[in-house]
Amino acid sequence: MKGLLGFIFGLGLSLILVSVLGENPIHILQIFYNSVFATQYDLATTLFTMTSLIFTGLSVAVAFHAGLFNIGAEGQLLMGSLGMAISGLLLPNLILPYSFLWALVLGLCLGGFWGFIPGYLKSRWGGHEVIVTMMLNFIAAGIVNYFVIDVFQNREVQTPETIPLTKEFLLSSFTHGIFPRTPVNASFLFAVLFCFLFYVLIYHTRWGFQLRSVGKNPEASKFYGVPYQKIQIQAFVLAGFLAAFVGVNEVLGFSGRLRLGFSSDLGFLGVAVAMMASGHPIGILASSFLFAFLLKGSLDLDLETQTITKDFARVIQALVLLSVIGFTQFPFKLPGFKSGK
Amino acid sequence: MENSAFLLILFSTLRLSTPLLLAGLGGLICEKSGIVQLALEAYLLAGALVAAIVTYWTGHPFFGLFAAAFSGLLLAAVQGFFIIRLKSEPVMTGIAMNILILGLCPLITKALFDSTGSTPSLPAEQILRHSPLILAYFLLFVFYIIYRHTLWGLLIQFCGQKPEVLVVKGFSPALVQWASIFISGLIASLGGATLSISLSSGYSPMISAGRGYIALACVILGNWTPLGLLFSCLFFGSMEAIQIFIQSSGWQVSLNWIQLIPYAVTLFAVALRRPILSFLPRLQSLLTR
Repeated sequence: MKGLLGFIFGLGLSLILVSVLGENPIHILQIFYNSVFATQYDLATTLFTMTSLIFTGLSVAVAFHAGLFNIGAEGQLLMGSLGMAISGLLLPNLILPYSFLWALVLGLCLGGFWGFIPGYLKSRWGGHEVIVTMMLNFIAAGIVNYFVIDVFQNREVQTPETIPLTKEFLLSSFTHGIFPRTPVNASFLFAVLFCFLFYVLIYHTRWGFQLRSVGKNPEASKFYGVPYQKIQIQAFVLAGFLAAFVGVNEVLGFSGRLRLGFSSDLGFLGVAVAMMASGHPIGILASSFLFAFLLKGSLDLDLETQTITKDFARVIQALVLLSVIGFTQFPFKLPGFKSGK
Repeated sequence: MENSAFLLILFSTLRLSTPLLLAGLGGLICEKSGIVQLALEAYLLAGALVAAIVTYWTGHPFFGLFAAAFSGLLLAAVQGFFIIRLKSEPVMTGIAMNILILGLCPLITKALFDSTGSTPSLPAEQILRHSPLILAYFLLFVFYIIYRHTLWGLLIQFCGQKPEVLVVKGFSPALVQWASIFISGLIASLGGATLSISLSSGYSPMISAGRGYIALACVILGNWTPLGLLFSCLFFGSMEAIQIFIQSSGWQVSLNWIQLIPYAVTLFAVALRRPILSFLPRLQSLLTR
């Protein structure tokens, strides 16, 4: 709820900024509304973005519950998508059930490995996870650059992207015609399912309890014999898996190839999504829709207005994120009312 | 030939470690007062942009430095408001500020110069040569003296470790934190200014290239001490210098991989800090036996 207040406040702040720059805020709101609800295709695109945001949001949230910051969802999703995009190019002759499984396994393993590194370094060697994941983001971007441009570049197009996968590797070979001709695919259903599974896992299982106890009170959980380091590593690996599912949505579900820069800061937006829902999976469903709305709307603003560019979209996102963070302690203490000391 | 290559790397190490040192010093002050400083990237970018613009307008780099410092103070006010006043999560606030500045910079260059994210390049006589280096070492020295030998240093340290003591003694922890976040922003944005008006001639997109995070890694690697910071900044500066040397020497290595060197080294350094620290006493006992 506080998150929603923050979201509205941030949106209001950006609208004020927009009107200072000389656009009519009512018009902006109209574009926002139209960009999501005008046609079925627009709604589908929003749901497609929402799917990715649910995955990154859950990825950040699982680490969040263990008291860790997963800033590395960006790198993990890049590695996961890379694994899926090159799986079909490494072993092109696989037949149907195995081909898809192979793509899934390779992508999830790479993503999970990219989550394992900060988890291991944090729990065993005490490396600061924010810096480690930040560096891993840069390194993942470099690795993806190498594979997309130097190894598997699709020579038929100008844009940097990999050679498209054959039909056997794609999600659509299982789910014909659920959402025809739109980007949104079966992974949206997976994402919603994952939210509920995540809820059960975190709040109603032994592992989830241990995870939360490590996050809330490390000293006590150590005292009661919770396998502290193991839980931290497992949380980060799970975060890596979840982030890698963005690849299922983007590569296996929609385009069948890895395009450089497809993830317009999805990993960082995942942080905002998880923050706004304060890590609660059902809240993530709502907040990921709001951020998908924001992302899609601000991309359309880029097309339909003069002053607002793609970078401005980033400013709006940052303003919303900042006010969501600012509102986490919402009933602000006013200077006159110092709590009794 | 061997000798000149060595000297080349040495000098460029000194030059390249300057922004790291300044940003790291800003980070160190803030971390010491108990605030996790992850917005260094934002300070670097803002400082770089403002310094380049003002230098271009006024034609004098020192005005650029002053303006950069002022922009740092402004940003610090925002960060302090969120972290100290609203008590929001410092890690998240820092990252959100980084994203905010990352979006704002291209907007400003587009509005002022109608370019896609860089400012017009400055003539050679407007580029600072050695003064940022001297400034960085001077500030480090001043901070060392204040930190070790004055009441202020003591206040900052207590503020980070046991704020209750400050309350008991009649000081306000929030005030100390405000002061250190302002100083931190000021110094870190000076580091950004050296990027654009000393190391290169003007602002270009992504000029900081993750240096804010690397600077924080330097602070951690230096075990949160001024001298440790100096050595780790020199180490990272040398990595960057070697990277540039390899690029310019024309070896047949992919540029993509060479650019990853500083990030990979940072990763290893942060990861291996504690194993090495725990290994050192054992090594000492082996040697002295």
